[in-house]
Amino acid sequence: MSMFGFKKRKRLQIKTVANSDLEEYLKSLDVLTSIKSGERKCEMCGRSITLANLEAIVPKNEKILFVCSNIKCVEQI
Amino acid sequence: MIEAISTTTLVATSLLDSVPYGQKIITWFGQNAYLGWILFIGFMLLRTIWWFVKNLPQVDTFKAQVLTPLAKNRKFKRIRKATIRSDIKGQVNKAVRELQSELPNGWIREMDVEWVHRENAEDFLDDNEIVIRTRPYEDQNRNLANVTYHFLKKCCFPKVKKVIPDTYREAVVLYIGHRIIKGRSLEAENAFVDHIMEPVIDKKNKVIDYFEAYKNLDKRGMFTGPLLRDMQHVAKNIRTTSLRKQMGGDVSASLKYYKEFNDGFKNKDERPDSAWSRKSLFGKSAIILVANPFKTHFGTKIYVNKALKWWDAGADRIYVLGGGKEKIFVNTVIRAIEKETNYILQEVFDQHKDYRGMQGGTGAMFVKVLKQDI
Repeated sequence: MSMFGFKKRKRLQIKTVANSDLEEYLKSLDVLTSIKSGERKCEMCGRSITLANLEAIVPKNEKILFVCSNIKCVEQI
Repeated sequence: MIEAISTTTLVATSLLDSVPYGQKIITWFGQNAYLGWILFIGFMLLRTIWWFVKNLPQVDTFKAQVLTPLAKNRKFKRIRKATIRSDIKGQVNKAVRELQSELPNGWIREMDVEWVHRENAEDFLDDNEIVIRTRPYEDQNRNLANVTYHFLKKCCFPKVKKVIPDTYREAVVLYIGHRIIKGRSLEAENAFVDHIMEPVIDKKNKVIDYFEAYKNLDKRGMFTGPLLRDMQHVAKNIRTTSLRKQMGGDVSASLKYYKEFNDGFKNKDERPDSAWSRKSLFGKSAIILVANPFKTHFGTKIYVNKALKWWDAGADRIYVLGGGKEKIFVNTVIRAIEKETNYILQEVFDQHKDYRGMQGGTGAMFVKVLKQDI
């Protein structure tokens, strides 16, 4: 869309899930139960993923992977 | 003025003729000319204001400031999310607008926060995008640090991320991120250092050495000017060859070269030709500094001759750098080189600091395109 020469630039979207929507989002991905039961591990360090320490959800090789809030894990994404 | 209005009316009439109810609209405007014009101008004014509201980062920041008192109340979930989003967008996009003209073409563009509520696994995998979790508004500095970091990781070194070794790339992201966050507040800067920089440096301690090196180069415009462009250019051209395994060595040599160039600045007139160029994994690059125009009596011939000399010497890219106070003259030199040599002007860019260390600066990157490449 252009108006008076101002072009609408395509913005880079960063997908984010708010704290308040986290459970609902994980439920829609069908992973909430496995996270609550402690089955899911951080892809980088191997520690158990919980609702408190979950930092990012990563698609990789057709799988849904999780990264914990330890920044040493986050920067490897 | 009257002619302009007549012409506009003629154009509008011929356009309206082709749409449904166009004739009725033309008739109504004919009978209510003044009202018609007032409505039209009012409509265009509203459209302009709406465009600014949607696109100016300062508006996002203002919106965040207005919503903050309400956002602190946990009951207002939508307002909290709107505040978080506006705040991050405003801060990051304001810095992006300043950095866009400094960083290499195509590196950085404005960002937006896309909230996700529900998504099935198939759509999530098809989209192939990481989802970052944001924390409550009380932790907004940490949110800003996280989102900025991920945003820059996505932007920097498009298409050649895997060619540039981790530690150099990480240091670039941290340095630019630090520059973005520093402008906000001390608390935001501390959050970035505590939650992002410290852990990264703890894990890869070479990152801090490169961070410092970039900081020093940035004092004379060499970081966002020639260095990043050279890294991008070389990586892009060797990524389909086995030379990519040597990219780390090339970046290291490049850092050393620009450091020595900066350090030897005071004696620049005594430096041999070899100090003005560098052989990389992909061709040779050279630098031309544009001096105060009084020194050349505002002539550009000397710079054109330098560019021609570098062409003959086989430099496949040259960086022309000039001072902030001489922007008009630097642009004249850039146009002259473009017109009078066979170098192709790749891009013109701004610099945070010029080669003298003074505020502002202008630079240009020229590349040699051989006949067989066309």
